[in-house]
Amino acid sequence: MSRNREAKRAAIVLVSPAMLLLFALNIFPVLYAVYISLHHWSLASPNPPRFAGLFNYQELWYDGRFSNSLGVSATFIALAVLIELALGFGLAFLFNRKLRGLETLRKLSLLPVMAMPLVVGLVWFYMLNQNFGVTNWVLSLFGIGAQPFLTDGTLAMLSVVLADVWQWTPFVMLVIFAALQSLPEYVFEAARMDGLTEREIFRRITLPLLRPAILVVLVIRAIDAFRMIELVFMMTKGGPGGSTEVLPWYIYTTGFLSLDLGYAAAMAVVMIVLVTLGAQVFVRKIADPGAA
Amino acid sequence: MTRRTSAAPRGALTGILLAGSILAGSAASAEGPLEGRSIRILGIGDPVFQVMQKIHGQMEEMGGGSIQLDVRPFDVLHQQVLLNAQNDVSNYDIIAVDLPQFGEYMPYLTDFGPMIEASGYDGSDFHEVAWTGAQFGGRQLGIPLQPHPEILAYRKDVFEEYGLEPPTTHEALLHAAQVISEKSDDMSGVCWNAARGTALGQTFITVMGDFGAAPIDMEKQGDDFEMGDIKPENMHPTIDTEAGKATADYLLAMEEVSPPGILNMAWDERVRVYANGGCAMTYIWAGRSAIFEQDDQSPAKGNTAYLPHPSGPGAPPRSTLGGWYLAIPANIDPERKELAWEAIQWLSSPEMIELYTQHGNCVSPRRSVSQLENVQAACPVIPAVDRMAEAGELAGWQRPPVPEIQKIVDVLGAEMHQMLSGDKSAEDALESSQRLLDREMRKAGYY
Amino acid sequence: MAHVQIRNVSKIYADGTPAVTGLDLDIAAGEFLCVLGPSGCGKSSTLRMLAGLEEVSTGQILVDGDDVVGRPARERDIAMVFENYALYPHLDVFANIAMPLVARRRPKAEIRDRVGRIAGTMGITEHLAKRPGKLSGGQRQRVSLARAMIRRPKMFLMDEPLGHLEEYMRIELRREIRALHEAAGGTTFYITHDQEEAAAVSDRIAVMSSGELQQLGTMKELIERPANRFVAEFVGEPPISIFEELRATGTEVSIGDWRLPLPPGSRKARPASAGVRPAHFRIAGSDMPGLSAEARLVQPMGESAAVLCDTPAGDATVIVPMAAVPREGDRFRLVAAPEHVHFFAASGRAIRSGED
Repeated sequence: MSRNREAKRAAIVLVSPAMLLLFALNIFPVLYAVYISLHHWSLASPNPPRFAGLFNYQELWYDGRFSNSLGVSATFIALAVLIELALGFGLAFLFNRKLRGLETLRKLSLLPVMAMPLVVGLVWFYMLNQNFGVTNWVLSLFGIGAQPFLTDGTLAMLSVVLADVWQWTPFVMLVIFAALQSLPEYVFEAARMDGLTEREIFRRITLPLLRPAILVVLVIRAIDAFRMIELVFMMTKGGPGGSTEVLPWYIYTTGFLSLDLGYAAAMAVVMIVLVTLGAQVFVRKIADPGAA
Repeated sequence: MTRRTSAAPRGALTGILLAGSILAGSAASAEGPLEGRSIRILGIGDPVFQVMQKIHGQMEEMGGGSIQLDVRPFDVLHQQVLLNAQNDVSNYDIIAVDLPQFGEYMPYLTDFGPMIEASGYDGSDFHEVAWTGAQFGGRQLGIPLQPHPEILAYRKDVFEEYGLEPPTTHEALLHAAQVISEKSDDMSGVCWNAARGTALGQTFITVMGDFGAAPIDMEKQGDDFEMGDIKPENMHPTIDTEAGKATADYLLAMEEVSPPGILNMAWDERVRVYANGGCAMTYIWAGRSAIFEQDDQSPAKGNTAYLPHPSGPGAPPRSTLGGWYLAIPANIDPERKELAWEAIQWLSSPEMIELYTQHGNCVSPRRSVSQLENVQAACPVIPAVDRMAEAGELAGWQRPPVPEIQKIVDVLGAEMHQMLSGDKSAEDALESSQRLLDREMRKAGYY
Repeated sequence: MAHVQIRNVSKIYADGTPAVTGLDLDIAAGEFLCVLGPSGCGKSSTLRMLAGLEEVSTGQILVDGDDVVGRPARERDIAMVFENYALYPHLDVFANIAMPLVARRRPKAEIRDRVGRIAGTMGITEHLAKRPGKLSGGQRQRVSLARAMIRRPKMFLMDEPLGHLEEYMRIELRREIRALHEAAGGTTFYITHDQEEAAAVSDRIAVMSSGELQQLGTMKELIERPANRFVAEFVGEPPISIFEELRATGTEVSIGDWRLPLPPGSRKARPASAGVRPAHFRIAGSDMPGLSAEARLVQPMGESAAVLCDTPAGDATVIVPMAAVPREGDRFRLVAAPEHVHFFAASGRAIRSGED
């Protein structure tokens, strides 16, 4: 009995540093953000923060810019992640062939992943810029007129998506490639013996076996895309109009430019909730391969 | 990145000269003002501090001590100044303050008054508007380092070619821009800040100033506004007004005669495009003219003339003064205060101001420096700005020194961009800006 | 049920390694053929070429007279059972078994019916809803067998299907496999390195080594008439006793102090070594003619024991009933009937009477 109690105490002592760390690093900041969001808290104002209740959250409800940024974020995530997934998937299969030279190409293709997103944004800003960008110059060689890549609502969104796709497709490719490589060869042989065509093998065997990897990469990329701010910052500042104002950029301008911490925190809390809920759905799917 | 407000006022010096006498203290010691000590400066990634970085070694030698210069982007600097203010003891001896930020920083800065008095410092060599711009409630909160206005630069040669009058008014500017856009294949009319966010927001309020109007309901004082004592009742936004509508219409009209991609153009790009001959006019923070005036490749070099911000109908020309001052945090270690003061006198001395102009910072807030031939040769904009200063054409009220100024700029930068993109009518954009800012002011508790 | 002919088939891998060299093999319709050999002997390559998983370098494979070389696996109508089961980990047992029928687009009702029946036969009905990960090795192999048996292919290929299983499970399953073969009436090509298993399931056994066929025959033939020294040594448990030092004099040959008449076939090739299976030795008194021996080690094997002996010609093993087991150190002579003494030429080939 007393030994049991001692063991329990030892366990608590041993685990508590980790729990404290977890609390300090993960939970406390979120709670603090919630706390801030319940206040009128402006760093720019000489007045001390004062309690605001749910005021900031009520404001969100009426804030067209906030709902617009949610929509823009959703569009961005959907476009970027789907394109990255499709391209990354194709490339993974391409690189999975044992052709000469592909190995080097595969290594080279990872370079964008290592670049700082800010730099990527800057590079694409300069490439797509209408006044001195190289893209329009190249288009002009083919007799195509200059395109307002960064100043037309639709094109600007596609341009930001393009930069993100450029940077992150290799990552998706790498994850799926690794998953492909780890698939057991004999399963495919069995499938061929069972009389499945290559297309059926892909649909009935390869795809389901890659499902966990696809889900993982989907979650990682979706969360990452939700947090994306650098490309918008460098390329469009959220314009034209609000057509590329993703939620993090709105939070940034509110919290770090206008220094309205309370309102920014409220948006951040909503964002955390959305990410957590969204991730839960996927994580559950990954953890339970049951639903095939 | 960010160089958002690039503003730095560099003003012109106003008065007349009395060169000499000023900086007594600093120039004195042959060893240099730092006397072997180390000074810690928090600066901004704008031309004047970039010059300091460039000639850091030389400056340490001149100063006779070590200079720790942390250069930050605008937003980061802003945050760091505010966070540093929360410390018991400041981590910096000197901080850079943008003119419109004084309102926000007021509680956190040291009054130079007693030091000026004790050392017999004479600020009369500085342009008056630059010098008094840092005075609040009788306190001198900053010493001008790089105060300069946002003005208009235009290509004399091009205007001559097409027989156009200097664009001193909105009407003249739009007319000239239209003629040039039509007649020239690869040159557009005018470059300006139309990028979403701070860039466009600042454009809006400086252009509003062209109509003699400020974004909030301040007390009128002649053609200008009272800035030293802004009361809560002055905080009502005045965006959805006649001046606001005129401003919006002017921006829409300019959009027609702008280079492609104008909706993404900001401080760096407009000067670059102008420097490359992409547009015949550009709005520009005066100090940045070094980019083409000191570049032999640029067609704009030597062919540029400078005018105050063109004005709207019936309003006097007023160029927005902005730019950087040196200030001492209120929470500085008292023992370092004297050193900080010595260093500031030195950094803003005529010798140093002259030195900065030779390395790409075309700003002189000192009349004495503006007279120098080598300064005028390297920076033709300096005598032009001096003339504007003397004519009283520089002002700071377009960006009132209130804590909410960034919010005002941000809201306008988002709403007006929707208007320029065709997502919203001018009326709607003005109405919603007014409503959002009104809400903001109520939230802050002004009324 | 198909008649399969392998005609002069060779397999050389891209890196130049020869896996199979000039293989000729005839598998009669309905026959259960085992391929026996050490790892690396080419048996797996042969099976994979039959399956269509591996390309044939040269030669032909005829199935009922049709050359199937170059035809993809799914067009060959062959079912295969893998050593590691090769079940689809993401599908339940039912779907695993049903896959060959699904691939052939059979109606749902028929699939349900046939899967149910084969699952009953294999005793895995209660596991149909589980995933392979939840099953034991034996259950997995039953699923794998069921998947192969669900249809009537021209041929079954089994690649060491029992290799990963425990001993008792192997014995149980090999009986079932044989029964299934008979019930299905298919042609079966079965790979193993376990000769006891080969003997238990097969009609005929092909012994392979170094990519070549060494001998094809029943277990009895392999034991009694090994074609060469490799077969003699590889097949049989405990292994055959080989004597390297022979002295041939005129019409006789001596193994140590044991003199035997030269086999008739040795006129063409001189015997270089001889071998006697432990079961064919008998212990005789020291006064009898034979190989003098001294018991060194006695290994009981149930009802009999293997006795390892020192002889003048080297080590020899003899199997003796437990009742007659000598003690270690006992001296005696080993004798065997002349037809049980196998002579091998220097090339390893067996020298047979009647070959003259």
